[in-house]
Amino acid sequence: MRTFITKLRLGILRLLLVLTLIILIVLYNPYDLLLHTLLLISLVVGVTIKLFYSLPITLILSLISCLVLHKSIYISLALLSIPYLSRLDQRSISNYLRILLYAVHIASILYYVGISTWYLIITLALYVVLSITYLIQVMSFNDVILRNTLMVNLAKALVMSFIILIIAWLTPQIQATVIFGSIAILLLLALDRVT
Amino acid sequence: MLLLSENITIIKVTLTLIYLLTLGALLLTKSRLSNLSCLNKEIVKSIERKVKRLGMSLKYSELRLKLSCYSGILLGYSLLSTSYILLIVNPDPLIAIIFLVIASLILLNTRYLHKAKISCIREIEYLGPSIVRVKVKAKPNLTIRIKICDSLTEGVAIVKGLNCSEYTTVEGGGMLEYEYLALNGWSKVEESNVVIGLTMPLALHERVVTLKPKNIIKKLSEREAKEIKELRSYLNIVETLIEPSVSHIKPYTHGDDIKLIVSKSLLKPGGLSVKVLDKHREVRGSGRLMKVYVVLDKYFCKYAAGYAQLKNIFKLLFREGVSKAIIGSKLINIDNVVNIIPKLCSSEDYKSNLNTLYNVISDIDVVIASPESIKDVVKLVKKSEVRPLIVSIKAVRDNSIVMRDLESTFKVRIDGFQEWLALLKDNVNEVLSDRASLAQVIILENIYY
Repeated sequence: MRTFITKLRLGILRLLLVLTLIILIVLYNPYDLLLHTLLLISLVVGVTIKLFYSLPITLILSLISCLVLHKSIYISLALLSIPYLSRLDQRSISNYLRILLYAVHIASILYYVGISTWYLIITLALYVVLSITYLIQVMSFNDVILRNTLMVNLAKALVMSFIILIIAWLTPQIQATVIFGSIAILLLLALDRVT
Repeated sequence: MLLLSENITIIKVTLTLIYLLTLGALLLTKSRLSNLSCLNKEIVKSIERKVKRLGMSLKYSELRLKLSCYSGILLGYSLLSTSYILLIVNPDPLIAIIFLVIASLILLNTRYLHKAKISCIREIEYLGPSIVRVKVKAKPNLTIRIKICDSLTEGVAIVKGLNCSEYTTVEGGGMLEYEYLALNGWSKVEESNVVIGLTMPLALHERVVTLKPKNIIKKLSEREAKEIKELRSYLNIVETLIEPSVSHIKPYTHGDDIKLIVSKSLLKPGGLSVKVLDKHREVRGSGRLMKVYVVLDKYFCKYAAGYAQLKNIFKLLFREGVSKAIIGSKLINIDNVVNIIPKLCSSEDYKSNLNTLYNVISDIDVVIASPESIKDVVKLVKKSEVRPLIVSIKAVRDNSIVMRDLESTFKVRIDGFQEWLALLKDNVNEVLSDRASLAQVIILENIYY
């Protein structure tokens, strides 16, 4: 029963995520039917098929959108990285790949949609929150105890990132460098723990 | 506009500089990175050591193993590279925000992983001279995913269960417990270390801790006494099989044992007659030295389970009153055999053992052979006129050599191991089903207790 509930929750989360993504793209770009079709196809592929197979299909789709339809590079990247939504796989390596795909996906969506109108900001924020919860759920192997620990760490990470963002905001000339430098330092600090 | 483009150039140069610096930092730790401990690597290595002893080769996908060990670090660096590429294409800080969150999550999880402390206890219950029930208990102080691996040493065989647990989430202060049955071959379970792998999703690497746990050694409990009883009944079987049986009857001459006089012959007018017993049984009956020949081979010498079984057979023989055995061309004392076996096993020419047996077979009463060479021994016995008792054992599968999850994840393949085990089983079955062979064969199944 417990696994059923967690599975259901994961299913609901995934459904909400797909819906929010569709709403987001349609809100931002209401008349581009071609883009909507591409998005729908890649969503269906990404959600239903295993990561190993869905990745090449979405790669073809994103190449079509970029080279044939001349869409923005960011929407192509977002399409390419949709397979992070794909079915659960216990193999750790594909889970790490999932995080990378997720980061690329959210970053490109963030840049593609941007912070222009209030309703877009709200939907985007909702999408980010939902997707990070989904990712934590997937990474914790549906384990409730582990998920709680990960959530605590996520809250700390958000506070940490917020502080870095404020520092970056104070130095408007080189915001990107401050943020990138912080990413590098954080990863090196983690590596220092390991070695 | 000019200022803006200058700014962008400065940003791009600084980004590249930071990226190159991290690359340099990574190269500086390269030697330490290549020596990073990884639980899967340790398990595969221990299997490789065991298999190499048996003269077989182990194949596995090295790439997959490396990927599983370094996936976290690879993820970290690919996150950095992706964010670098995206920022070079478009230096808008908005792009990198999510990378920032994930990087801090990675740092926090890695720190969390290294903050955890773990304690471990191992309860060893001796069910017999070399069979032990091992219960491993690990207790972390933080909620974490752990996997425990015990007895990764070569000299211990796992008979029931596995020496490695599955990855399990354990709550802080909670306990992970699992047990298995092991046979002590040329080394003991209590001498080995426990290797614990600790992971946390999104941490940069799996942390591997090697501990010398506190061993609690227990003696036989009440339940095991039943198994001792089984042994007793088993020994009775051995005794009845070696009990004197009549070969033929001859007229009584002076000096024959009075006990062997046929009672009915007392009334016969032709005089007394006496029973003549079977050769090797007579030897046993009259209390003379029973000659035991041991055929050493790969199963007994290089396979931990076989080694443990051989030790037990010697112990059984010693209890039965046999004090000496012939191994190869040497006569050795059984009470000292544990120290001598390694020396005898050092020569790998097992064929000569069989040849020597062929030369001395007429003097031998009991031949001890492993499932590997039992077929050859039976053939030898068939050729000769004497019928020594052949004692063998049921082949045991060492569970620590074949692990299903490794097979699927790292494509671990051992050339010939399964076939070898099947051959051992077939050998025994064939010998048992061959009723025409006339050789007396006893297969010991439960000699550990």
